[in-house]
Amino acid sequence: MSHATTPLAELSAITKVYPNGVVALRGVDLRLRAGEIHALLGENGAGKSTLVKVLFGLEEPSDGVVRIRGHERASHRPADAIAAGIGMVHQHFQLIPSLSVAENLVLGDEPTRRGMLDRAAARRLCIDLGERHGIHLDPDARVGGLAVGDKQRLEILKALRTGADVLILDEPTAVLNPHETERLLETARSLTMNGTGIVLITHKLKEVMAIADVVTVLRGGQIVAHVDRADTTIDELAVAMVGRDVNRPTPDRERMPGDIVLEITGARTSGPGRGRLRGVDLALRSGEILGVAGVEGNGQDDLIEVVAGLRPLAAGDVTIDGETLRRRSPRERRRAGVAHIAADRMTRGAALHASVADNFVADRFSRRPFSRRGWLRRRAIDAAARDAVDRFDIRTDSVQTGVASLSGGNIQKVVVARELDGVPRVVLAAHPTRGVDLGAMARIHEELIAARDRGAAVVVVSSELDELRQVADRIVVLSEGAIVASFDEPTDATDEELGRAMAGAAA
Amino acid sequence: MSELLTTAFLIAALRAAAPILIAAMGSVVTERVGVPNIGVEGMMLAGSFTAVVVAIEVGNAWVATGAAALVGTMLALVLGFVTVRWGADAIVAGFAINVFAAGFTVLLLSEIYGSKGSLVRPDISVLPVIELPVADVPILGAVAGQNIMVWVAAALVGVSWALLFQTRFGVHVRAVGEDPDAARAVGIPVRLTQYRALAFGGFTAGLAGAGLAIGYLSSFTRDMTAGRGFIALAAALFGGRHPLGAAGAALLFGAAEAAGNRLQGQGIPSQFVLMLPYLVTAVALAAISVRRTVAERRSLTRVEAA
Repeated sequence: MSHATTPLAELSAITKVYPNGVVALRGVDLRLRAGEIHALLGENGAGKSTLVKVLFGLEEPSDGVVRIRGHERASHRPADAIAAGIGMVHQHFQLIPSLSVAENLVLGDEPTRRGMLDRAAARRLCIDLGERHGIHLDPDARVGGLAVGDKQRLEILKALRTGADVLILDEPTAVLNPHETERLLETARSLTMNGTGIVLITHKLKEVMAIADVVTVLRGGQIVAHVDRADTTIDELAVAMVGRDVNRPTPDRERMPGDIVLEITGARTSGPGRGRLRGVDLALRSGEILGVAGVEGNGQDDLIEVVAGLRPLAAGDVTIDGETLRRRSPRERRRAGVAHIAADRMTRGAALHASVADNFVADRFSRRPFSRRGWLRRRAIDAAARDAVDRFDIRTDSVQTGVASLSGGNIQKVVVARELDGVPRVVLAAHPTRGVDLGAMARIHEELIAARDRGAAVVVVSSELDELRQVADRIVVLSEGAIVASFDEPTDATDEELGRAMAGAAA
Repeated sequence: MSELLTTAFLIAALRAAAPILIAAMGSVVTERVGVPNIGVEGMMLAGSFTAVVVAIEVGNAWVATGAAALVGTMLALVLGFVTVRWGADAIVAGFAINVFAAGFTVLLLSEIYGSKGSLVRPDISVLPVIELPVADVPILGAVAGQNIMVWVAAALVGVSWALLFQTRFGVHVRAVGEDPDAARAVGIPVRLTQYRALAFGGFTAGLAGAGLAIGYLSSFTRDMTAGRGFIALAAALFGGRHPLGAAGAALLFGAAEAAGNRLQGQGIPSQFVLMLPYLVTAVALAAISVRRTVAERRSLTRVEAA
């Protein structure tokens, strides 16, 4: 074997059995070469995270061999992995918000002069390292004020500072907007020019097709596909991931929407920045899905929240079936048929420390049949929750399990099951499929369309234009708190048209 | 009322503020590391008791002060052991230290000295007054002669600031306090940092206790700290967990205490007067919680606008 072809990192026949008997990986191989981007695909729970944790030394394999540059590793802990040139960028950033970019970069290994911090050296290092890798960040900016994309680039810089030439990126684009995603992919590509090998975990097949050299697909802890990107297609990869054809639901365009249900007139909100509404008019009919596109922070949150009752209107009105909601509390609005799939399921959508069952009845436990004369009826609650778990294919041990121990996609399914139960009049869905896998995504789309077919007026906010085109009957674009464009035929709206409108150039 | 604004009052305020300020510097560091040290009251009380006992038995105020600081440090490490190592609730454990210190000092007082509530020895070794060579400068000259504890307090402000913002240890303290997982991920020894920060907190609390007992007085009385440890903690929070802010807050609380002592001779009910420093503390704490709420609301809208 010539030196040039020795892989940077090689995992051979890795098996991982957890003490509780769960088999996370079954004889998995992974080979990463210099200058290569290796995409790792799979649904939640397929074993991707376990595999990279083995590579990074966070998990000890039950069986199998880890080789770095051809050398077999006897002991492989994170400190060893870092010393061997492996860097990992976790999904949850490990940055200190109150410190500056340069301070975070050197954190844990700060340069000092005569016992005191040497800030100048830290700044220099930040600039030099950024120069070398094309990651330019203001060394003095406070990390708490950085955009998500910059925080991520800082994490990459941190990994590079330790001399990493194997970089593990765990779902790096899940939290990024399209522009930031583009920049991240560019950074990744330029790093490979210097010989860095990258393991990229993602759910987004488009990104894989755009950037990866090799693709490995995991399902149930085993490799189900290992192909060169040039030899495969998005559909092939989707089938490999899910194990069946993901039938992409297509809205039934023949359906005629009914009467106007939700009407927003002259809506304004107060507060600083672009996020406030500056006079929005919208009318939504029964049996219609409205897609709301826009760069994040251009009024989408306020739009959802003035209908849900979480934010007061400074001017204008919101009505359902002609009745104003202005003086209605969120609870009264829910009773009037407003369902709200919150953008942040971790803080607003679900109570993480409560059980699946309790989350399912969170907004209706005080009503029949879930309680009677002030007493909860556990049996009715559990039965309804079990029913929802079956219907939505929620992967949980029982309905008594705490929601916190579920995967992101399954937590979202709990939220969607609660919100779309019964016959909602208005459905507010903010980023309903953010960070969930393909199977769950298809399921959630089906449910939104089913709610529409039961007569609901549905608002879907998303930063994924494909998602909007797929489910929406109509798309509007929000920019700086106003509707700047409207597309009655979503499938005809191109990325360019939508992007131009999102950038604020009125169509 | 004009009597309130004399140099005598200023001196009294500085005297009252010094122990609070010293303990507040330690509290700033423990707050920053994320382990609230409620036990500062008990550590201070134990420091006072230790200082008086050692001053009597050894006859040297410096040795007594060192012993007080050592006892404070040890109590802080006990707190660290049960909270950092064993995961006990820091509030409950700190409270336990306070109850322990209050009870144990009284027990030893009666066992060793057969006293029911106080130990007064006019002849014991006390800490000296240090005169600054600025007697001719107006205003400053009038307050130039101060107990060494006042100068220690002043120096500690600078030391704490440098420690927090100019050393590796300080960066680690702040990182651990903000996000222990992130700190651990970059290789910062999280527990060690917490122990060290707590030790600093205990050290200053013991020092403050010594200042109280053998700085101005030469006695120990049961519960003689009378909430000054809690007030120091309040000063740390009111001062935005910053040494300079905490120093300002400690001076304010010291002034309230001095004012209370003055007003006692003015026909104002003593109960009200005794309440004054605590009232000021309560108002100050309410003020920061209001300020925090406003700041949170503002940052929330900022995030949404971003």
